[in-house]
Parts: sequence; C-alpha cells; structure tokens
Amino acid sequence: MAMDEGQDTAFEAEGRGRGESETDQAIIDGIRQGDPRAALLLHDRFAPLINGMVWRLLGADREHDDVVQQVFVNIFESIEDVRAPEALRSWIITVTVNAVRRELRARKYRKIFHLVPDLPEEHDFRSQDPEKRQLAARCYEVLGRLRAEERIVFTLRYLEGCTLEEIAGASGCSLATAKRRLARARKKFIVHASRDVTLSSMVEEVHDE
Amino acid sequence: MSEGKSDFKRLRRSLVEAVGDGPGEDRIQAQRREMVSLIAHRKRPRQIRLAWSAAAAAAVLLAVLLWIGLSTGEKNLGYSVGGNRVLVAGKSLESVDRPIAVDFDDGSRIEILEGSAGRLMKSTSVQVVFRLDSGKVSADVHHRKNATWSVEAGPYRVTVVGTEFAVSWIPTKKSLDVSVSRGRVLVTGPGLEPKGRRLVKGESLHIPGMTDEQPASPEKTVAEGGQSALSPGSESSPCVEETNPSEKTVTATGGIPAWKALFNDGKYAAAVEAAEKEGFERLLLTLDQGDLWSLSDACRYAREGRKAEDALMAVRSRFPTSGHAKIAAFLLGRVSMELNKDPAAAMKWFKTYLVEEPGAPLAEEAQGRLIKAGLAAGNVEEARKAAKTYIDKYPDGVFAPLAESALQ
Repeated sequence: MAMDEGQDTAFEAEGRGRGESETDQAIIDGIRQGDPRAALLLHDRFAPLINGMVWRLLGADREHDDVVQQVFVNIFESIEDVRAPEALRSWIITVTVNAVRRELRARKYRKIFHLVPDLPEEHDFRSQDPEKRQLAARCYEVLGRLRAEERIVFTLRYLEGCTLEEIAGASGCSLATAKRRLARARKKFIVHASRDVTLSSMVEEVHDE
Repeated sequence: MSEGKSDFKRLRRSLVEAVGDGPGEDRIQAQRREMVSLIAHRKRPRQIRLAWSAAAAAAVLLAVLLWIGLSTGEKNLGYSVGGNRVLVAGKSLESVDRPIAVDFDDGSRIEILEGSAGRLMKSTSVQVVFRLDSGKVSADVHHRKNATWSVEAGPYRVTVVGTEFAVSWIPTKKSLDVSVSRGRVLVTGPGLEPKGRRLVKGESLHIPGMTDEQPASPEKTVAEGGQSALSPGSESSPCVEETNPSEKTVTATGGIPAWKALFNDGKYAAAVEAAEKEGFERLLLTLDQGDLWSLSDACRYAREGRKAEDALMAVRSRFPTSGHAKIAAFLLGRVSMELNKDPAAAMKWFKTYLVEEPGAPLAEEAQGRLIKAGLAAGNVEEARKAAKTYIDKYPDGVFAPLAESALQ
C-alpha cells in the first residue's frame, strides 16, 4: 500500500483512538488489499467475539480451534460482501453462525453415512465442578439431537440471550422463520430434556403457552 | 407461541458457569500465531477467483475422465506386513509363533498376535476394515479426521477413532473380548443393540459366548481390580433408566409447592424450611424423581448435610436403576466429606460410585476424592491404592499432584 512519507497507516491511526467505524473501514480496506496487518487487527478485534460464540454454540468442542480458523478463512475470502463498516460486526456474527451450521451439518452427514462412529461429542468445559460438567454434557447431548438450525436458534436465544431480531439477522432468515425455528427447537428440547434424569428438573419450570 | 418468563434461566446459569466464556487467552494467542502462518499463504481475493476458475475447469476435466471410465475413488492407504509392502488387500494373514505387524502409512499399526489369523479387507484414506478370523489383535490407531477404523470379529464390529485397543475372538465359542488403553471405541453386534457399547480408556468388554437360544449378556468391567459393574453387591445395573415423560407434570405457576418455588428462586435454606413444614419425611416418600432430586439439591446448597443424605438415599432406594441414583452415590460421597465430616462414609460412597459407573464423566473426580477421603480418614493404605489407580488412569488429571504426594 503506497503511503506518503510521514503519514500514518490506518492501523497506526487506530492506536490514536479514531472512531470504531473508521477503524473497521480501514480493516476492510486493508484486507481487500491483502495487508496482513489488517487481518491481524481484525483477529485481535473480533477473536473474543468469535471464540465466545463458537465456544457456546458447539459447547466447548474439542474441534473448536479448527472451526474458529474456518470462520476467519471465510471472513478473509468473503470480505467483499461487507457493504459498510457499521455492518462489519453483524456480518462477522453471520459468518460465524454459518460456519457453525456447516460444521454441525457435516457432522450429521458423516454419522448418517457411517463415515465416523456415532460417538458422543467431546467437550472441554471450563468448570471443574462435576455436577455442572455433567449437566452441560447432557444439555449439549440433547442439543445434538436438534437440527443444526434449531440448535443454533435455541443456543442464541437461551444461552446467548439474543433477541429474535438478532437471531434472524445472524441466521440470515426472516423474523417469522426465526420464530418458527425457535418454537420447534424449544419444543424438541423440552421433550428430550424431560426424559433426561439430569436435565428434567431444569425444564420443569418452563411453560408451554 | 409466546415464551414463559423464567424460560431455562436455571439451565442458562448452570451452563454459563460450566462452559465458560471461551477457550482462554492462551488458546486465542495460539490461534493468532496460526493466523500469521495462514496469512503468509493466503491468496488475494482476485487470486481466489482465478483459482476457482481453474478449479472449475479441472472439475469439468474430471467429469470427462469419469465419463470415460476412470475411477478416482477414495485414496488407498498403503501398508506393509512384516516390513514387506502389500499391494492387494484381502489376503489371509496368519501368525504362528510370533506377532505379525501391519504398519500403515499414516503411522497406525495392527499387530496380529501369536496363533491368530485375520484379513485386512479394506485400507483407504477414509476407512480401514480388519477382519479377525480367530485369536487376538492389538491396534494403535492414529486419529485422522473423517477416517473410520473397524475390527470385525464374527457378527461384532469394533469401531474406533484414534485409539489403542485389543480385540480377542474365539470363533468356536463366539466369545469376544475388547479392551481399550487409549481413546474410545464403539462395539456393536448381537446383545448390544440398539446403539452398541462404548468403551473408553481403562475399560474392557467381555462377551462370554453364545448359546443356541440367545447371546450371552455382555459384561463391562474396569481394568483395575477387575470389578464388574454387574457383580454381586452392586446395587444397580449400569443401564440408565429414562424417566417416563408422562409422569412429569408441568404445573401452572400457582400450583408450585412453596419449597419448590423457593428453590427455583435460589432461596435454598428457605426451601428446606418450607419442605420441613410440608413434612420432609413425607416428601421423601411421595415426590417424583425430578422433585426429589431438586429437594436433595436444596438441602446440599443449604448445607443441610443430614437432610441431603436422606434425600439422596431416597433417590437411590426409590429409583435404583436411574441415572440419578448413580450420581447420588457420588454426591453422597461429597456430602459425607464436606458437610457431615465423615471421610470414612465418603470413601464408601466414592467406591460405590466407581463400581456402579466406572467410565462415567465423574469417575475421575470420584477417584481423586477417594484419595482425599482416605487421607482424611487416616486410611493411608486405601489412599495410596486409590492414588496409584488415579495416576495410572489419569496421569495429567486435576488430582495428580495429590495422588503423587500420597504415594511418596
């Protein structure tokens, strides 16, 4: 990238506290131009967000790092799709959700076609409390029985606390579709969890209206 | 459909605590280092488009090649037998007086032990199938994503993902033995329906043989001491009984018992007090499994050790084959140790749990707490025995430092 002598790069200006929107624009421009500093700045800026989402969507999955790396690859390869710097964050959330959805679907297909044995997902939960770990493992086992879209909307709604509008935006669907998916996911989760000795007491207070 | 006010609040709280916010700063920094490497080889978007154009052209060429009858198929996974390269799968391999090693190009190995015979039926990048005709093989399989390894023995199949294990098959008796030293396997076949039996490190499976009428019951054992979960004295089978959803009643807001409402609000001491007013002993006898479990939680969280013990014992006696009953054994160990200050009782409960659920997620924790209980009870011999087992099974576990100090 050609620079006038004495002029800061957009990334050096970041350190001087320019607005977030200007920084995001600089990141987008830099990545489009193949500037590795822009890519690293994007990583530093959004890695906690992406990691947090993937961590909870997949349940501290053993292949977490592979999925996160795929998210970044997808970001770099599709950066042209970002229309405005204000949209960068929400676009990254959408890319993350899409990557997780693809991963969940791929796992289902591999199991269906017996390409891998039907073994339970492996988790790397933070808590050392055995009861909490047991609960979390059972919860994600039940979530594993939902379709990928249903699992995602359920997790975004009840574990991430997202609004329905945010869920629709992240999933790339209409609000009505997000509502329908959530209703289906919730119903299925309650049915499966009610049959699970560890989860049953957790869903008893949930009302079906 | 509108949603209730307290939807999954408790579940969310527990999950957030269990799962955490993310993998931690160290791993994020490791990802960053990977990113640096990735960026160094990344193509510009324009180059990616060119690459896709080239890929599209290649795809057309490939389709043409397929049309004229050339197969691409899965890639073969090469291997050698006894150091000699093999080009054709399916040949019978028989060892007489010394093991025969089958070494694969990905670093995996199958060893056919003395007096055993079998055939490598398939060896590709996504699937390896070895048929054990008789005798014993041991295998050390290196994990590769999307690759399945199977050992077939009679009507049984042992499927693995990155594992070290052994399979023994006696065709005349139709007897099968599988033991796992690393990783995990899935064994399917008669008597193991519907989903087969999963074994993890330290576990083994013995199927003694079939009569003409029915297959023998499989026995799952722990490696250490050879105690069987089905041996006399074990209080329940290893099966997890699913609760009948029709027994669960989702009550309306106004109909929740006072103790339950207080429990849901996190007011555990008040919940126990309310339960006492309703008749604690009566509740132990009449509550369904879910509510009884909640009551035991309330007692534990309110640090009412004796009541928690009573509630957990009620779970075990009234719902003996349930998953809750087994977890109750572990929790009784913790209640004994932490609330009732009775390490001898704690030792008994942790041992019970380990017998009933040797491969469960809490097994490592139970084994570690057994060491602590043994030391607290002054039973050095038991503590050292537990410590040795812990180090053998979980050398890098959370309780490893305690185990090592107990062994000194």
